[in-house]
Amino acid sequence: MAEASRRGTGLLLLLLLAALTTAVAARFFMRLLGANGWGVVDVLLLLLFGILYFWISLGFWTATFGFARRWIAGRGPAGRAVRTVPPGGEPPLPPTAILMPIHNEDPHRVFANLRAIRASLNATGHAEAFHIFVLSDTRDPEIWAEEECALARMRATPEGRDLFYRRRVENVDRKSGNIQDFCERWGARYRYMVVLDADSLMTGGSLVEMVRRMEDDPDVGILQVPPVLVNRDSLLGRILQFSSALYGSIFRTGFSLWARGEGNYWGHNAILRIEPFIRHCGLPHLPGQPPWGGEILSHDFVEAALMLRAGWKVVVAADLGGSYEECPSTLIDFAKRDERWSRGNLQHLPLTVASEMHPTSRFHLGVGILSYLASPLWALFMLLCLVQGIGWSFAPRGGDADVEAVPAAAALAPLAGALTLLLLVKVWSLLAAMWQPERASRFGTPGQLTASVLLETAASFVLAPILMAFHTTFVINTLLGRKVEWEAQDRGEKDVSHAETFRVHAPHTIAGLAAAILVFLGPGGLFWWTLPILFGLVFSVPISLLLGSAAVGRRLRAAGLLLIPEEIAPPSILRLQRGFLAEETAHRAAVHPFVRLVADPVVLRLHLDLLPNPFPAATEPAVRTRLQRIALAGGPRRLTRAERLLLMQDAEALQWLHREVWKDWPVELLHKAAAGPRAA
Amino acid sequence: MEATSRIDRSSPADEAVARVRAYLRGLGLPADRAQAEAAAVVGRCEALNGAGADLTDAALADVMARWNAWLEELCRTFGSAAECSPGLLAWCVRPALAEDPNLFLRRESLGEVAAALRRAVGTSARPALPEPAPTSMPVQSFGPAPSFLQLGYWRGLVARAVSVERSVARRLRGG
Repeated sequence: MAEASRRGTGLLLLLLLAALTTAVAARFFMRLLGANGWGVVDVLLLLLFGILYFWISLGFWTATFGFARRWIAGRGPAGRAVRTVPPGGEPPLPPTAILMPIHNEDPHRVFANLRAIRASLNATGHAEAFHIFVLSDTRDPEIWAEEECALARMRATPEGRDLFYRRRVENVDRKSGNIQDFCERWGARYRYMVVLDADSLMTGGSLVEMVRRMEDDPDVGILQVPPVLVNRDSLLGRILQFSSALYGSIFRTGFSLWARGEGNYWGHNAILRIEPFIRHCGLPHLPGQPPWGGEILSHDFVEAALMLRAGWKVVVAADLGGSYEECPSTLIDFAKRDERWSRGNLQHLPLTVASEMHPTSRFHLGVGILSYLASPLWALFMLLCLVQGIGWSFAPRGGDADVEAVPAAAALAPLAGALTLLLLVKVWSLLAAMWQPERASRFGTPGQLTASVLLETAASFVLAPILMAFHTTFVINTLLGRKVEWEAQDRGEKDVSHAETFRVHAPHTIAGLAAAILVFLGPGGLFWWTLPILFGLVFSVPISLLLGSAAVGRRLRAAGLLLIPEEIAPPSILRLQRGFLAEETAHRAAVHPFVRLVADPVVLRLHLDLLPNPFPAATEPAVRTRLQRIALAGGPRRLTRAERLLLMQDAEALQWLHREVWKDWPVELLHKAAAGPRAA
Repeated sequence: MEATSRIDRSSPADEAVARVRAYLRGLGLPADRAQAEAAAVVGRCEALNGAGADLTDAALADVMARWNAWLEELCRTFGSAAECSPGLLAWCVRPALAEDPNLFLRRESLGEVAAALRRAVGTSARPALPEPAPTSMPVQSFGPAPSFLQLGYWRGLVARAVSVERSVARRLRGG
């Protein structure tokens, strides 16, 4: 009870501190705005300033909480809290399902990650408690075929125990529907489920500890272990990894400190108590048409809200560690992911004011929305500042309430204050690392660490206006109801496409140039004030190309910059993953996966066994015959993806094709396709 | 798939042997045993069906049927359907067939084959999914949305404003 009453006080304190900080800054800003009297623009500016400053203050105080916690407790970095297991001295853990929901992901990466997780679990002595489910929603026929082969390969390894695979026929409600389908079919067999993402990695030690913590506190419904970003080479990826490792660490600590049992769930790298999840987290479709209505796109925050509403705790275990994920390697991929996330978060807008919602959940949902809404608000704020600046420059001079009468310090104070809050977060992180030499050394030498912070800070200044432009576009597109494809994220390292970069950033460059000309011709001094923003926009194309460059990222790593602890001393799970990935990629099909499927008797047999029997959607006989003939005569490239998918779902059609291709196709091709143990 | 036409071989029997050999290689058999078995199968088909028959068709059908039957039977010796998936078993036994093709070619020793394979395969050939334990997730609701988020509220507000404006205008005109 005492704990329950303490819950929520952290959030109140955070809100109070953020409000006070905002009030102080607003006082200076009001003095500046009121110098020439109050107009509509001034009122709007003050409103926007308040919202945006409050937003920055929330981040600042969260980081400060984390910093203070580290200072007081003298706690080490993440990963120290895992208990050591006395062999045989503990009762067996309850049954836990590890879920890997996938949709058109690279199967080689997915299964390499799962092998690493299982290998790590095998070393804990608790492997038998965990079953791994690959829950496929894949629509791409070739990836589907590859997933099945990867499953069979992994099954035949020491990491293949208790590994299950299910592909859904209909992709109902995306990831949340995928998890729901698992819960409804097998959930009753398990007490907990650990939900992963396609690029998630979790150590066996952490997984075991997560189960133990759930057992220790039966009121916890969700335990989220914040993942750390790893495995990127590109400059952008390395900047994000470094930020996540250094700054993210105190943010996560601060968040878990004020949130306590009212934390949040980020959709993966978390353990959930299945029984209450089944009882309380069945997601409805929202009323109305997309983008506001329909299926809930970002389900994780909502599921956490439903758990909280039902009285269960949602805990963020910032101290646990052993939780990893990857991030996009190029700015365009990063923006594509943000576009989906922005849409998902904006869809939560009506939920923040829904009648049956826990107050802390309203806050979490609001923070998610403001993460994207802040950009257009910043853009509007700057536009209004520009309007105001031009207005003042044409205003009559020498009056009593003249803007020039405001001391320069007062005019600069709000801006300086905002910058200070942003920079202090980085200073806290640097100090938190520096006072523990062992921790600091995991980011390189003190000089390298400081240089990395400076480099990241410079990059974030250049990047901010580009992200602002992206987010503003996303929010406008959402408000206009434009459709966004919710496709799989491109997770690997890849070369940046020059053509795509030019196409995507052309509007930013044009907008930046137009604004630069306007302010240059406008009142004196404005140009220099807007230069940091305009620079990023005007040079967005080369900046994007530079950020996506893996060569630049590797050079910086060689120079000891933007290093993260996982690079200096890679944890065993990352080493395992790299080894398994190399092994997996060696198995890429030598022929088109569809050719292998219809030609290789073993692969076909495997596929037929994994098909639901009977398959719910039968192919029309006439369509089947036509597709079979095309496939036989011209191969899979003569068929569309949807047609290949139809054939792959049709056991009878595949068996016919198998017989016919062995009579008709060149023996050399068949020999290559049915490579047997030489390649499989 | 640019070239899908049949490859000319010196005779229908040669072509049949080449295809059956490739098929057996696909099942995992080593090259020499696949060649010998293919020649034997084609020879048998030729003797049974005569020289005019489609040898490739007959020989491939023979091998495919044998493979499927062998696999099903092998799977049965592993246990019930809940314990063995023929597809996963096929994957697991392929490397074993490369090592010892007799596991497939000498059918009379299936019991021993199963015992040997069971040790090698372990749990790898278990079905891809466990038995389900059906339950259902009730759909939640978030309570009614506040009225100001509903279109009707704003429509009503606009309609009221318009009506007030009209009534004021009427009074002013009347006055």
